[in-house]
Amino acid sequence: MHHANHFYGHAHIMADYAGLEYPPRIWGYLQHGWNILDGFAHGTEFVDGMPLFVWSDGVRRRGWSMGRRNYYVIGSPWSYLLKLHPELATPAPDAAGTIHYPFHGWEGQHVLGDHGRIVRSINEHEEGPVTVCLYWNEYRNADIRHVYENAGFRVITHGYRGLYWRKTDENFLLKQLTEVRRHKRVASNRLSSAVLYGASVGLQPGVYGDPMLLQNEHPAFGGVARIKRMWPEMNLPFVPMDVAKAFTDTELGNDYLASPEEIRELFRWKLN
Amino acid sequence: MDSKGDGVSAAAESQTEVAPVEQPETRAVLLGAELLNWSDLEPLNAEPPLGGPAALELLGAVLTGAQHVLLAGPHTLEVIGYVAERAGSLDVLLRSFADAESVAERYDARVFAGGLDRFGAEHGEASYDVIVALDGIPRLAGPDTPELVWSDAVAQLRKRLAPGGVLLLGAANPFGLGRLLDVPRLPRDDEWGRDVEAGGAPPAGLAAVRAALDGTGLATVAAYCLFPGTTSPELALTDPAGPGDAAPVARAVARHHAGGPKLSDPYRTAYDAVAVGLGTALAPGYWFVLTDNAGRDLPERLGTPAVPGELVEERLLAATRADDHQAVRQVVAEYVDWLQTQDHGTAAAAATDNVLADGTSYTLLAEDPEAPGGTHSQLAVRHLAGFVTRSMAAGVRQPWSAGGTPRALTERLAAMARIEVDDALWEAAGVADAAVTPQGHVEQLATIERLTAELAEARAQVDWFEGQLDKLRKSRSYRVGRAIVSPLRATYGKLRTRLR
Repeated sequence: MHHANHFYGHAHIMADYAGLEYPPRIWGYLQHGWNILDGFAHGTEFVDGMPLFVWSDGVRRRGWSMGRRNYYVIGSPWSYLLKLHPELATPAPDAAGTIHYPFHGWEGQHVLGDHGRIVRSINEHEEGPVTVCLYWNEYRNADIRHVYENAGFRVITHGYRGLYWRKTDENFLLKQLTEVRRHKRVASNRLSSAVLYGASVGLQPGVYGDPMLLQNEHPAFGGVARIKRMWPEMNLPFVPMDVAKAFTDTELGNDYLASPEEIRELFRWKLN
Repeated sequence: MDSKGDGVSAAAESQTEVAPVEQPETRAVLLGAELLNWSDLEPLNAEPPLGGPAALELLGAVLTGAQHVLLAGPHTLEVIGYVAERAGSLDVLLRSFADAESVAERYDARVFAGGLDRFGAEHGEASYDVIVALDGIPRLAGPDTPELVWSDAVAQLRKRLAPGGVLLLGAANPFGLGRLLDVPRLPRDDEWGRDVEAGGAPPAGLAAVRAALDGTGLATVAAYCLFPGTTSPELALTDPAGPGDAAPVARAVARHHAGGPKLSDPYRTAYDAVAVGLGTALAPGYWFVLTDNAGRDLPERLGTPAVPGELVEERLLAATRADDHQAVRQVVAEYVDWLQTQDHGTAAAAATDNVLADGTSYTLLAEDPEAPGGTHSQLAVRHLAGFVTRSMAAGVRQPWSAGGTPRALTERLAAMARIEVDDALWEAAGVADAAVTPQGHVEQLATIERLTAELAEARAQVDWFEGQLDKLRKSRSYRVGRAIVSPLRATYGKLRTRLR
């Protein structure tokens, strides 16, 4: 239906959960990242009457107020991934240190900011070993990578999220989960999906440092300022665990997860 | 002038000597102004007489040890017989001559035929222990009583009440649920034009009726709200309120209004009215128990026991109306989980509008003697489809496009309970796969709105898919593939022809 349904291997996770080997088209639009507006990227062209599958009820409410209908709250693919991998339900035995996600852009929108300042902020707040996870386009940029490597951090990427149904790393989120389990803290310069994912499995979250600006970020989203106004309790270097749990449960829609039967019905998928 | 045969002289003579009124041989005592060629007990184009289980229940509570009883106005033979069995002596006052004769023949009672205005002190007992006028005042007289003032009529009855006696009086509500449900119709035969001030109607509004009754010197020891109608109420409640009362009231109102055109969905209207505390204000009518003996202890509810909890149907409706997906899922899953563990009879009767939920404990509101067969999954699908059909027929807001038939929404709800509905299961569940008929005009408008929106969506989807096909056909990969496949196809075709 829409190529964003396949970003980060989301469609593959949902197919796996629903008992299918390979994802058929999803009858509708699947939210592909934590979103502070209607669940979808600005400018997404919707076809009237097609279902909008979103992570949380807040997204549904905001979207309705913007004239969108046919929402269906099903929780995040990440939450389904956790169900699919009980072997990753606990931290790795040698889990230590922090995994840090410098806020990333994508192919069409690059982040503007000073990676050196991020390094300094990490050094200010983190004590143990630090892994920095860059998005693939930044990871491929040797200059950016070196800034972090020179600081003594381990630098990784989880892969390519895909574009127009091509080159999607089906195991993107699984790699992320595996990596997250090797750490005790998750941090970023912006409250973002990666912080939510890490916090949702019990890593202590931290948000600090230069939030960076997304090139041409649409004002409808309100930017970092809106995020900070809305969730000041989550924009702290050391977020209390109970606060983080309540926040991630809500935003990842953990109380909204559907059964495999329901996912098949919603997505119009059939078992063979 | 020969006065013999002179009509004028004969008339003058009759003015001085009142000729005795000829009394035909009748079983009933004729009072005058009796209604001929008419029956309230078997009406052709008029309201039926008052009856029903709630009336019997009330009479059972009141008629203990009653000596002299007056039954005034049209009540069913069942009611008359019930009173006759319990009264020491029974007088019956009916406006219809035919009814009076019929009742006099059937029961050991004195029957008076005619208007209340003709029922003087010389008729019947001097006073009565119980006067039953549950049908109210208007039908205590016919067209030959041009003026019947409600308060005068009540005073007349009250005058015949013995000290410590009980007057049971009915009064219709001019703005009851019927005003919200019934489509206007042509007047019936019993709705002849009446005096605007003296047509027998009670004062407008419950407060005005109660104030008028206060003036009789009797205390109102109970005031019942009647449902679903005034002539055959199934329920009489002193304080209809909350979900526990809303459910039985709505069921009774829905049965009463089944068939025929309606302004709005009777079930929904009645349920919502009672649930928000408008049950008393919108009751179709009332019964008042009046006495000067304050020691009377009467039931608060007639026709239905107090039920705890809330219908599963209402929980589901509340969740779908609010687009609360989590709540919809939870209610459906818990309800179906419960249903799966019940014996067949219970599961078969456990339609969502027949199951009361109190937390996660469920009870049937009523047994279903015509319970359908089938597996538990089939029954669950059948019950969910019933819910979907009713909610669509009631024009209730749905969280998702229904696509015209209930099946799509039923499949969605069933999937929440981990039941996948395929053609075989749908057929086995025995659900009619028909378009939903909206309950009333309000719901028709809502349905038109919904279907218009869904049609526009479907058109937009067709256009979009058409555009996608176009894009595919123009894409390089399609054209390259076709350039390769087309010659192969042609060669294969030729070869096949030759080999044949």
